[in-house]
Amino acid sequence: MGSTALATRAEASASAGATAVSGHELTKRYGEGPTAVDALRGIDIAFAQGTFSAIMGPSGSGKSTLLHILAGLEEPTGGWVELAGTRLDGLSDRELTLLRRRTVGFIFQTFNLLPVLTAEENITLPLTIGGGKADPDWLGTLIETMGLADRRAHRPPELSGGEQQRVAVARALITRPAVVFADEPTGNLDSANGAEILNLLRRSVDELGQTIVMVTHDPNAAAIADRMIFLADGRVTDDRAGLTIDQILDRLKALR
Amino acid sequence: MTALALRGLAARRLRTLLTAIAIVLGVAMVSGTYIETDQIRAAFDDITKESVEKLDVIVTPHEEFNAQFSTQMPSLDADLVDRVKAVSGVGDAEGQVMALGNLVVDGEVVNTMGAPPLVMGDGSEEFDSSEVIEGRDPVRAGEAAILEQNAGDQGIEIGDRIGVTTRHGVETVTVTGIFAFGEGGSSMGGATAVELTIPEVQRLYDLEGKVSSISVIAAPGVDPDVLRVRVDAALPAGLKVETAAENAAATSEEINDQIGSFLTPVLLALAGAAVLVGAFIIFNTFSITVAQRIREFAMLRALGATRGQVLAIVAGEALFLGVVASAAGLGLGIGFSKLLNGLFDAVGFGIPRSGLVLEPRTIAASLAVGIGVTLLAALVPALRATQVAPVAAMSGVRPRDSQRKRRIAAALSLVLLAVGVAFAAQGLFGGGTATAKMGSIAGGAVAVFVGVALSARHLVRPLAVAIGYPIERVFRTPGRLARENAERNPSRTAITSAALMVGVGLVVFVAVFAAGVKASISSQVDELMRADLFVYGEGFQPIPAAAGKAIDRVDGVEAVVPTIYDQVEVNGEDLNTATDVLIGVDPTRLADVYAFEWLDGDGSLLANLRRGHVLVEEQFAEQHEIEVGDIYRVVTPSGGRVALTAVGMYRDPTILQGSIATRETLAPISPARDPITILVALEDGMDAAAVQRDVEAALGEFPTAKVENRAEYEQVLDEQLDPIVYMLYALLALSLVISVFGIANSLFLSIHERTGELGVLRAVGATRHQVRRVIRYESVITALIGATLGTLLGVAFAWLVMQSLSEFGFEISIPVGQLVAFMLLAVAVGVVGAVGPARRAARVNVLDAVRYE
Repeated sequence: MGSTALATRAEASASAGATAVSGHELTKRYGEGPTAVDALRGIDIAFAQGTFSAIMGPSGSGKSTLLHILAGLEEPTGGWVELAGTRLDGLSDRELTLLRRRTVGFIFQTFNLLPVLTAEENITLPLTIGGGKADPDWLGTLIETMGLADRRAHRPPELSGGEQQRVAVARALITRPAVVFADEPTGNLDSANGAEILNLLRRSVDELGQTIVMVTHDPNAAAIADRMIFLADGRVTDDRAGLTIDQILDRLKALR
Repeated sequence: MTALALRGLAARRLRTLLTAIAIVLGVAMVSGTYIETDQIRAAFDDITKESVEKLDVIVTPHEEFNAQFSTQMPSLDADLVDRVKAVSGVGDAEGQVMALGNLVVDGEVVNTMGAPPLVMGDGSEEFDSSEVIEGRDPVRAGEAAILEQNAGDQGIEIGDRIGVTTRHGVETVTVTGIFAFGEGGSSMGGATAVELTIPEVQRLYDLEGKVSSISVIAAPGVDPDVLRVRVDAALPAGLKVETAAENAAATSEEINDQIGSFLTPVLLALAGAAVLVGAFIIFNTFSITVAQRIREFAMLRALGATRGQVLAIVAGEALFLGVVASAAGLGLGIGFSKLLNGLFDAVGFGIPRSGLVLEPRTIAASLAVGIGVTLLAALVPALRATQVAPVAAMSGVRPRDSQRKRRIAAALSLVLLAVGVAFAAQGLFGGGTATAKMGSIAGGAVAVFVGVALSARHLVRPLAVAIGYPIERVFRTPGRLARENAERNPSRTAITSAALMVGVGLVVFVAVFAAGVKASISSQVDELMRADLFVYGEGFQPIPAAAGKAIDRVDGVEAVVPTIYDQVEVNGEDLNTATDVLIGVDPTRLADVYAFEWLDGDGSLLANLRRGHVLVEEQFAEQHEIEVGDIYRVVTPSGGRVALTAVGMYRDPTILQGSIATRETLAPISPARDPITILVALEDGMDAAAVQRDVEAALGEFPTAKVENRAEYEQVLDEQLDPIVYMLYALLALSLVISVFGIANSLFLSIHERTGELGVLRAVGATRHQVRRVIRYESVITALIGATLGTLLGVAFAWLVMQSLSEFGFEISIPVGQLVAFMLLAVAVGVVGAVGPARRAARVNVLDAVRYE
């Protein structure tokens, strides 16, 4: 039943073309004086709803910083972010927190599950933080789709890496966020488990209309995205759709 | 969020348990203190209520003021009994007599451990609160009834012959009965009580024609309050006439005041030390776990948890921990009160106590202290948790306190330190009531401890290097690693060792203070005393005056100088129990046994000291602003009044404190006839040991009198302090025990962090034994850092206190041997604290550990 249920929801929530998140004239400077480092040097970028984008670039290119700023985890030095129709500049920590809670999902490289909670409790954590409850149908659908039906009551230490990351994906999707930000989601997984996670992310975009922004340095991961953005020295050097793995590799080499 | 907090605790069971123990023990001391002192109070209430149960009105001798020590039981003229009987509304009245006299069983004086040895006249059935439970009351001379508890303790049975010390020697009596006071279950502590016939008590204690009090029973239908007024009107002025209820209430209140002004605050202060140690441990544990859970908090924040929610998770854990641990501590307090009982008995304080008393106040105070301290100690770590940036969920960056924050923290700890020293100094050198001073000193000490704990992070590195040096020399790599580990997180090591610092600091303070007092007393005795023998009573009770005459008759004795004391109130000013004293002596012989340090006047004064003339000690004179030539008024507790002229001034802050006059000056204003000490000088060229034996033999009829030579006497004075010192050590030991848990806890947490490292260590060939060693030495280094800081603080505090007492001739003396012993104890604390963690570290699986990262 998984895929049809997802598809139905995708149709219901699709409003093609609208922007999920956008950054405008973003700069980010760490430190002060001569030792200051410019992580971002002026980036304008927008991500449409229902798209899967990959941000790539060598270490120190600013890709993680860009993700953090778009997700409202860090403040830019200059410029501003609009997330789900709300400008983030000028929001208090509390307002930002509540906005994140409603509109953003996260998938981390290191899974970041709470070891004291069961798989199911970890999935519903973003809702329970807000004092809410999971829609049982949706929760059931996610658990079914992620293949965690017989793992609901297990705690993270009892799960394999792939299973843990599937829990994390479900946790990111449970609030039906405007954007899911994924930071190297396959970085800690072997290739088979990594492929499965990417596949799940892909399906959530195709069948559900989910918006995903993913940072990765793995061309295999990036190739599954609709759009690839290449960063170097805090600037966007390339922004393409539908590249093959080889094309991605060539571009990465050029950036080094 | 609550669920999350509880799950967190459940998942970290060992840490939770170790942390909880830190609070449990401190709270147990708080609740145990209240339970114990409440039981003592209840016991005295029982005893006083029962003693007047059958009576309506009681007439007692006039008491000018409440003297802390009294050397003679005051008495009334027996004629007054008939005058009371004649008052309309009086059903009956009877004079009661009471005196102090020890039991002598099998030739040995029964030690009452500071409680009174009572000798009572057996009153008529309708007045007497005692009840014969076996045998019969004494009815003629030579018969006695004895308190059930004493009979049991001493193995005395009806028909046995026992001795009772009197003013005229030991009186041998036959036990005819065993009695008890009412049905109350309270123990009498160390007190002894024996009943003789009333005429016998009067004869043996020189109370002929006297009674101690008059018991009055109202005629049917007469209200005690009304009767009190009538009796009062019929008697001469200046007697105390109270209803039985008033009398019992006044006695209880007096006892409550004594407990409340000394025992309770001292015990609570020690409990406070344990709670402070616990607070350090809680603070440390929460700091460490918050640091270890940065990612978790960051992730929660990224997912939309507010700062408040993060705070709630940490505070929730603290709250739950505080509630459970306080409840457990409250329960354990019952056990602690039993421990206190045992301790009091062991050091020889025979205090009566009732069965279990658990007041709502005890419950409230225990819970408030436990929960409050836990929350307070967890507050800073909890706030730090809220500062975790959500982005740390991805980057793993730890929040680093900015340079500015660090500087503020450093400045704050220094300010705290300064404030603490200022408060302590104010308490020691400033004015104010004793309670305010004590509060000031205690508050100051806490501030200093916390201040040092917070600034100790800067001392950890140099101390670790110095302390670790010998360990490194001997154990090379494990020693080196241990030292590096100890100093790699200075704040953590600082707080862990601070927990031990508090306990060691207080123990060292007590040791140095006691050593100083002992040294000072010894040097004063050496300087001022010329006497060869010192005679004093069991428990420093007065010795019958006849003992002095017995010593006089011994061959080889040159001079015998009895010293008779009474408390005096000077010019109506506040009473200082230690120095407001008038000592009656024979001044012409005093120079044979005592070397005056004259400040004004000289030895020629002694030969001509006239009635009404007095020599004043410096402290006494200063306190009452008396100079030589001044006339001042004194009143004794029994109401004797006289104007005295100061004719000379001397300095002696420890032995003959107060003021000295002839016995002819003291006698008219004081009922005291029996000396507290008898100072004896021997003729030159006599065999001192032989004369001492002769004096002892001459005192055979006065077995409460002890005869000591100078060295023995110094030791007796020294040992007077020992019971209190040992009790303080025993109670402070609990603080040390708590710090063992603190060290263990902190090591467990560090090991958890360093699993990877330990795996690497094992992978490159370190044996399990070596890994254990690294942990053990890290623990020992941490413990020694705490012990070093504690020793320094303890010595500094003792020095400060000694400075404030320097006018009493106190000087500092460092008991080096004891301080070394405390250091070794700290090593033991380190080793014991490391047992569990070292074992766990050695169990780390090499592969798992390396993969951990």
